[in-house]
Amino acid sequence: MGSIKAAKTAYAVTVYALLALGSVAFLMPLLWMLSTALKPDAQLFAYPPEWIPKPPQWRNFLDAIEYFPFWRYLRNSVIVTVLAVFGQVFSASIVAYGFARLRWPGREVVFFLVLATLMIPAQVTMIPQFVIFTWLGWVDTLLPLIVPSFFGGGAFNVFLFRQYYRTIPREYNDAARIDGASEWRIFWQIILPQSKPVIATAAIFAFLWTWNDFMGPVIYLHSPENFTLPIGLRAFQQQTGTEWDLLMAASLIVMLPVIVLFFLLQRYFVQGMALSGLNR
Amino acid sequence: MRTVTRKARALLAALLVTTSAVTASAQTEITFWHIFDAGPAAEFIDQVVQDFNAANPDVRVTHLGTNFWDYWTRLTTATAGGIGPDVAMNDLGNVPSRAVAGVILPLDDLLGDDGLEPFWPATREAVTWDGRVWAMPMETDVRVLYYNKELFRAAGLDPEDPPETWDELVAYADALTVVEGGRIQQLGFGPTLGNTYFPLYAMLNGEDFLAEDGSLRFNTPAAVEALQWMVDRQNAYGSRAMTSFSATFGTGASDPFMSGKVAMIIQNNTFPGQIAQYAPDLDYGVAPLPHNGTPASWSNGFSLEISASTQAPEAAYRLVEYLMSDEVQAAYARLNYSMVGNMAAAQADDLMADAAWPVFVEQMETSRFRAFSLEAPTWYDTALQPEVDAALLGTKTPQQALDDAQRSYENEVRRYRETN
Amino acid sequence: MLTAWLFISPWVLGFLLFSALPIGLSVYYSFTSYNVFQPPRWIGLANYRALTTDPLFWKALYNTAYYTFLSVPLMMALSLGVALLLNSKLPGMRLFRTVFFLPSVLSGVGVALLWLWIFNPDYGLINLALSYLGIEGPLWLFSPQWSKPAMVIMSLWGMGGVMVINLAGLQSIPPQLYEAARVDGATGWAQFRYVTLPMLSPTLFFNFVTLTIGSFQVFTQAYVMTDGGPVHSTLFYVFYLFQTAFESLRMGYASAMAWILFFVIVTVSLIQIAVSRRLVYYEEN
Repeated sequence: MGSIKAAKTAYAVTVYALLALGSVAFLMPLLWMLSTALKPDAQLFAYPPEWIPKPPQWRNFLDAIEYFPFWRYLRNSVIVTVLAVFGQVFSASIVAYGFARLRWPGREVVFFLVLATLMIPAQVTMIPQFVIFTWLGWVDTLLPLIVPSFFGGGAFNVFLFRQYYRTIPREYNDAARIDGASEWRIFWQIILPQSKPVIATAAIFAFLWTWNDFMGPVIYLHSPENFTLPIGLRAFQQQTGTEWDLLMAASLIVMLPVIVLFFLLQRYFVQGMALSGLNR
Repeated sequence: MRTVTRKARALLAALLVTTSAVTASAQTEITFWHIFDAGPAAEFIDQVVQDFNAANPDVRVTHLGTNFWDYWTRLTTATAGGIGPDVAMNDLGNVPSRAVAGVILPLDDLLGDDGLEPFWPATREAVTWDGRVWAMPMETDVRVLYYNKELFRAAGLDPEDPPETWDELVAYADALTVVEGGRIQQLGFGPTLGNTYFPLYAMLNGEDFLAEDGSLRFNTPAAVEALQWMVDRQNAYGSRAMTSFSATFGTGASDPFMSGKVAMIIQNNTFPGQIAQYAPDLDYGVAPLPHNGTPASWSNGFSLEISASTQAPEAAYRLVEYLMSDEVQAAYARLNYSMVGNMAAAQADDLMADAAWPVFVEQMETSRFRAFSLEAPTWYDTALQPEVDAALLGTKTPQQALDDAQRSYENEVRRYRETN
Repeated sequence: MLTAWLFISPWVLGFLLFSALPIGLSVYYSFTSYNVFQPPRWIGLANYRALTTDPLFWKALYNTAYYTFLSVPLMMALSLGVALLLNSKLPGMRLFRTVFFLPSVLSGVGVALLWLWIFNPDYGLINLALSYLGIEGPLWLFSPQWSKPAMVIMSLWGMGGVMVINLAGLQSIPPQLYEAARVDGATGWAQFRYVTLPMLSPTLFFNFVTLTIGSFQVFTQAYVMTDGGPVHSTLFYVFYLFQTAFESLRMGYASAMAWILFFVIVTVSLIQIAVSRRLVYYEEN
């Protein structure tokens, strides 16, 4: 008994030690960001660099929000991101099912085509895509940033879901099919509920990517009423210089929703797979 | 290429008046894009547009300010999509590229009887191509030497007697540099610090890279000499020491000069505004650039251009005319220490009363734009800068570096011709 | 068969509406001289031929390959290692998970500027830490030799996303398998080799492929931090492409570049897929 306990303690100590070391490395730059966000102007470029702001300028966070129309941009960012995330997760989960759980001729070839769309640098399709949206009359609206998400949700997400689906044993499908269920029912009632980890993962990624997307808003939005947060962050970087303390403060604020989302969705990453009720 | 002659313009105006009389409120709508996305400059341009709209009830201008770093992407995609702005700010350094591509309208009709005389000599060539004028020089700039008077005094130098030649500059720099334990604590002059680059040093040595046939030539003796001088200055106190020291700084408040760490620096005319903001107590002076035989400086700037696909050229012309008028230009100059293109506005009495401003004006007389190459429009970045980097790092001699730059440039030209 | 097409129809529609034409056009552009403002002019293979004699093209390809071959294995190893640690059932993991995920949340521009500071040769965090160990750190982003390794280090800091995917994959491994292995007398390492790795292989494969595709297209760091320097050492392929397309306004040339990159990535991916057939275990098979 004693040796097992000792082994367990040694294990715990090792894990915590490694994690602590890693955490330090990963947190340092963020702490530097926080420190910079709170520094008074004069201290920003002190050499040798100082970590503790004297005195801490909590005002900077307020100033950062007032520097550009924060609330309006926030509203737009929320609209675009929530809709895009929903669209991406929903449609990618459906499309991936067609590539994972169903067997049909040409499946692998078409899937490679999906994957191949990731391999073309966006810079060369940017302009023709812009022209398409101009023709549709969608420029200077939030539509180009939202609608494409509902059409397959992006190759990355489709790939992600597909890989996950393929770890679910075939027996599920077969059992249900014997019971006479249609593919859609199998997908909706059996596979999808078991896919919480990948749904959470895809949601996080979709949120992250859309929330921080910068190129899209820059080229498609032409009126300040429609701008999103990443454009707001740009205001701190002028030709004459960067407002470092305000930029760091604003960046930290913009980061918050994603962190909160991640913290909340974490339990889905740790939920074990419930394999009950299946006879092998 | 459309040419709107005076007669056609009058006809157009008459037509507009007639149609606006017929239709109740037929306002001509035009869009104006610029780089003023935030701060006092954004408020300023907003007021200017409001004033224009009020004075011209038959025209309605909507304007959009985009952050400088994103402006070009937005402008290019919008123009490519056919929904670009009617009037836009653009780079004064490469107007011919757009003239040749046919995306902007010639602006000869906006010139009065004195043609381009009201504008700075340096800018006149920049807006001209193939015998016509394609842009208005909304704003230009010029580089001068800023020096820290307090550090001068501390080093026993006369704060009213800044260096005028390269030899003097070197002597002053050495006197003003403090090195401790292999690290630079205070620097007299750093050739890569501030708003400067190799082509400027070449100009100060009498070399503007233009060959007789209009192509560019980088490996002339004068250019090699200038690069050698730049390399010597960079490595005067230790190459690694200088690189580390230079890397410490950034823009804004982290500027090397404003933090008092560098005694002399080359910067442009908008610098006093920044000093007033970040280092208001700094005791500094401004002087023309020290040269090696050729008084010179380098200018670039922003142009005002009208899109060739505009539906309302007459209204667009009026807006450009207004933006270039004496009052608006003078107000713009006052706002940000901008060296506006309109010379009269730039030399307004209240501006000339400032301590530094007359030096800028004086330097404008010998300032030039960098050479333009249609086949390699970004030659200074693609062909030249990496070679300069290599020379500064010591991996190539200046002669080798410039020979390679020349080869790079010629390759670029050849590729342009092959794929065009 | 029909069912399958119904399932994938959203993607097919989206592809036809938003992607097919731009992709087709960019193929067309690669055979033309196109300055974005005037109609494209057919010039056949001239762009491709010119590319082969363009030293910057080869430099960009080399830089990108160097970056990819360095960062992908490191990223895979690090993200897997951290995910394994975070998968332990010890208390406090929730907090640690957030810590490691945090950095990947920062938007590209903010991160790039932050790391410019961190890599400062004189007082940046990294050289400061090295100096405590008695080592004089290199010039990092100002040195042609160290600029790419610096960027790799920067990218590793953002491994939170990859780590999360690994975590999700680890969590979906049925605990019964570990039980069975233990009953058979397998120790930690053997469990890792015979249970974890195979069950995680679809996830690892996913990361391997997407990381590779992503690394070949590295762009933001060069754009915001180094402008391709010093001495072209961080001139990455897509950055050079962007410069050609949007600064030199030579969209035809840039399109040709894009399609060459496409073929490179396709080739690499096909190799990865071929290799995976033997190594990746899908439960459904």
